[in-house]
Amino acid sequence: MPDDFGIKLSQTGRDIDSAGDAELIFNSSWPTVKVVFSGQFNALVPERVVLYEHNLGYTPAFMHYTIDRASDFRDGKFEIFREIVSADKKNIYWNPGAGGGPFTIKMGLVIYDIDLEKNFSAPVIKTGASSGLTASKDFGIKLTKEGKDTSSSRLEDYIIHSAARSPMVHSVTNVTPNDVGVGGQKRHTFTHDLPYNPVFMVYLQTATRGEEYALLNNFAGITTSENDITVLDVAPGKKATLVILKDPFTIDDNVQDIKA
Amino acid sequence: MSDFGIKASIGNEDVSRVSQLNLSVGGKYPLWKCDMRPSPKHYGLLKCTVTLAPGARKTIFTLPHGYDYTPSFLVAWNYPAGNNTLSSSINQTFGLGTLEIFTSSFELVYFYALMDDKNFTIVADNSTGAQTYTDLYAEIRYYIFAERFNETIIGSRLAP
Repeated sequence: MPDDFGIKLSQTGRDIDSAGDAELIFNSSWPTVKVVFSGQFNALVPERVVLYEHNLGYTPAFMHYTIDRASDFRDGKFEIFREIVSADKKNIYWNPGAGGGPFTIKMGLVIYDIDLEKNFSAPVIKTGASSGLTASKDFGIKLTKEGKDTSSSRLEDYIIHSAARSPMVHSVTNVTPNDVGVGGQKRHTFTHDLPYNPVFMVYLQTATRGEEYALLNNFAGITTSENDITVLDVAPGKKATLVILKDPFTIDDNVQDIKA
Repeated sequence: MSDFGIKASIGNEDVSRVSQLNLSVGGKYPLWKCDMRPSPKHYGLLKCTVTLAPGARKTIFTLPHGYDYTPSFLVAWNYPAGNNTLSSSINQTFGLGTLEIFTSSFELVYFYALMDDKNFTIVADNSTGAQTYTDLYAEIRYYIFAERFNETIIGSRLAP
């Protein structure tokens, strides 16, 4: 197959010939981040349950969030972190373990169409000079969802809109760490090739949940340095997945200093 | 009508046979879109320097998003190691949801993001702290998306 084909669309105001990969709406050389499921649950502590049967046939990337904010630990409220929520090829699980209770947590769940065990790596298009046009110019592309009018002012009515930025997947890397870590655990350093410090997510198989993956959503267990992202404490024989987005963490647009 | 839409496969994949996983973009699952047009902007980077007394909880950032519903969002955070003794001892950049930071005393100070049908908010929380933390530094990257999280209650059932 020839490799000189495809489609890419730049953000409004970005020159398509010089736009870096983070300045595109999409490029057919890599996937966008798409949500295949979103919903809310009343989850009981402490009780392991199947939160959702996704039946995707692969272990998907996911995100969980609390709705009734359990932030005040003086009242013994509950925080969702690490293997409390896990996923395998069929289900998303709720594993609260010991945490007091019984009481109910209202939480949300988002599942993405990213296979945590299928490695992928996109090419890198480095940032080039931009024409610097504003997003208010009357040009671009927009495609509505079925049944919606292209004159709609509601951005959620669109599948694609060139006035919008969407997260895109740069790489998915699934490994079984073998480097020696601390306390009998294993570690692994991922090295990426992006010219910027990206937003990323790490998923781990834990020691107690078999083939299930959990989102590493607190800081413990990850360090970064230059183009290296190191996962520090993976149980021996278990896997880790790094999902890197084509989204720079450090930007020069709308940077605010907050003092409080 | 159902004979319309768009899909683009990744690389050499045949678009007429490709699975959803090998699509760059497709109409079945719309892109998560951050509107680049509004003011104040729906994306940005916050460089936060926070002082928190024991038990304190502060709203350090509020953004009125302009939607008439609760939109979805994404946050990532970085606690750079540095000369500030209250910085995390290791350099982190990653994201989603709750933003924790261990101080040098190994207590928990939480930064977290909240969203409702009016505002996007970042809160710094020293609820469990027994001491004052001065000039705690964190960088927070955020996107607000036009798509809303589905608020349908799905329920739960027992695992096998």
